[in-house]
Amino acid sequence: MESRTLENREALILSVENLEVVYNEVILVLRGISLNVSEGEIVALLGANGAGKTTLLRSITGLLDIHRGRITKGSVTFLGQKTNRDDPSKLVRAGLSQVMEGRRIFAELTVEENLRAGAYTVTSRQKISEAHDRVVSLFPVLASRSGSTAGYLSGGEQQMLAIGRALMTSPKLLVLDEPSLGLAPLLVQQIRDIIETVNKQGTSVLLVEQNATMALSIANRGYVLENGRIVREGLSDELLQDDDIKEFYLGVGEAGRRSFRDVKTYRRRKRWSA
Amino acid sequence: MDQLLQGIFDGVALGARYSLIVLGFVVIYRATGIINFAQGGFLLIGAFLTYNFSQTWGWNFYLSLLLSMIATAIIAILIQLLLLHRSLKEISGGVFCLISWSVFFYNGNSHLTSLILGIFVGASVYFLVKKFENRFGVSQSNELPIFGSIIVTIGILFVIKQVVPSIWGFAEKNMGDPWGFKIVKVGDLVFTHAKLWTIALTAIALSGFFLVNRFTKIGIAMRAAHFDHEAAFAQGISLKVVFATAFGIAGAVAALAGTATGVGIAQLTPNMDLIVFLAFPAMILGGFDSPGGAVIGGIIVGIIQNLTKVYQPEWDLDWLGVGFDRVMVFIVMLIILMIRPYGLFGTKEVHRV
Repeated sequence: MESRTLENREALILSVENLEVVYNEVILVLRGISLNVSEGEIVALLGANGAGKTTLLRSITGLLDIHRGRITKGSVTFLGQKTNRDDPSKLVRAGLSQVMEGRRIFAELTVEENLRAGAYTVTSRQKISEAHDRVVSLFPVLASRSGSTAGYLSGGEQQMLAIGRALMTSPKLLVLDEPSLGLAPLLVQQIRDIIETVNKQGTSVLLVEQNATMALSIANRGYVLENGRIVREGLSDELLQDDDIKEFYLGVGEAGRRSFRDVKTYRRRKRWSA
Repeated sequence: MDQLLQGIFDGVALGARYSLIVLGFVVIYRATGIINFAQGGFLLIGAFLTYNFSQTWGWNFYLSLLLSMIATAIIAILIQLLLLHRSLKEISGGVFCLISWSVFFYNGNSHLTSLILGIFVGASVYFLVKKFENRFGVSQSNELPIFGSIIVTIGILFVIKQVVPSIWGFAEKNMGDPWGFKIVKVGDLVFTHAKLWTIALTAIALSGFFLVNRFTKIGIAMRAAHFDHEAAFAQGISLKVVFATAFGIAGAVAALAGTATGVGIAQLTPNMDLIVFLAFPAMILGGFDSPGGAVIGGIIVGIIQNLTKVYQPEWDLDWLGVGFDRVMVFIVMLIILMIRPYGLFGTKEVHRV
């Protein structure tokens, strides 16, 4: 994998600048976040529960409105277009696709219909069948179960269906929210490999994960989000070496594995230097 | 035996109308989560439009029916776009615009003047409510909660029930009888053409709907949106289009149901929408969110009602009173609800195996 630097700003696909998001006009969730995804990159976004990862994704994918959220400052730029108030159908057409947290497949529909629902914005039949072939070659299991009700699939298959559904639009940027959630280690491996393959086929990926080992192992760069701020950013290798990251996200500090209580008190003592 | 079969046949013909009415409710409920009480209003509009086309203007009956279905669909879509899934200020602005428009019109102003005045009043209410909203910190861009929208549909029903007689009058009307009193006799059974046509048209409309729902893009989008609004939205499915389509379908089937109900001698009245209340048990029987259940529930209710009517005098149950057949439907509904609280075909949770 070719090495990239933080200065690599050519072919910027997504850029978030100084983003501030407020829910219900009172709750400030994101406090000035900046983040970039360049073409061909996998970018990992790490953070504990409640750090604002999902909110950040919602503001990128246009789902803030229906959660009574509002961008009060800053901007989101996708492929050179400012998309602060765009709704998802416009963004999906522009080439941004997402896999929501918890899979959110249409359990009452068949696998085939789920994929067709994913291709709702695509008008050309030829493009749909091309994308369908690609999804099926990535996930052979979906082809063998295409007629069955999606709700009856296993957890791993459902996650694959969710990713396949998002790929039906042949997106330029794929946003994944916790794809490894609730899956067995072997399946996490599989999802990881698939994300890598998808990326090699030319889709940039923004990967939100709590499973930092998995995320950093395939990402080019990573951001760490805490309390609505970016507290660390850098190349994945650097982040993997970072002591604080080891401490909080990989569970290993310089003195080896510590008990959870130590980590908690340590955390209270120390504030991230942002 | 013949009596029973005859009763069942007539019941199916009656139930076909219920099926259409319930289908309208179910389609809108599935897509938007709203129970559309204005469905009875759509029924009235559809029936009176068919009357207007075929009797007043003398067009071919089937053509009139088709045009009436299209026109009612368009009216339903307009109502959805302008008055539902809106924020408080937009709804109140729209409603006040309509009210003041009609008030000015009935007080002798010309169409144009009353329209302009109506828009003026509507806009002032809009800005007044907007100011009010800001003061209380209510989020500005959000639509009314579902319950608010349901109440709005009741308001729309009342408006339609005033507007329709003010155009066509309160008197009972003859829709004409395109099928006359022609009958088909099989053995001792009598099939009137009117009933056969009602069943046939209903079958065509229903199978059309099911094909669309099952195989087309918009059908899949509607089912996806029913299952998970947000996920469907995130896939780029336009909820506006889904909502509008649902209202369009509901309007079209309501026009068909209204025409089927109003056809014949002196059947067409502005109170015809009360048939909706008889269709309610059918909806509950079939399950609120199942189009297939809507059809079967409608037909079951029709058969029950008709058989009760046939057998009540025969079994010396006249003391139960005239119109007991309508009560019977509700009794059966209660019994079924005790056994299956979600109706016969309501959503069963899909579990992973």
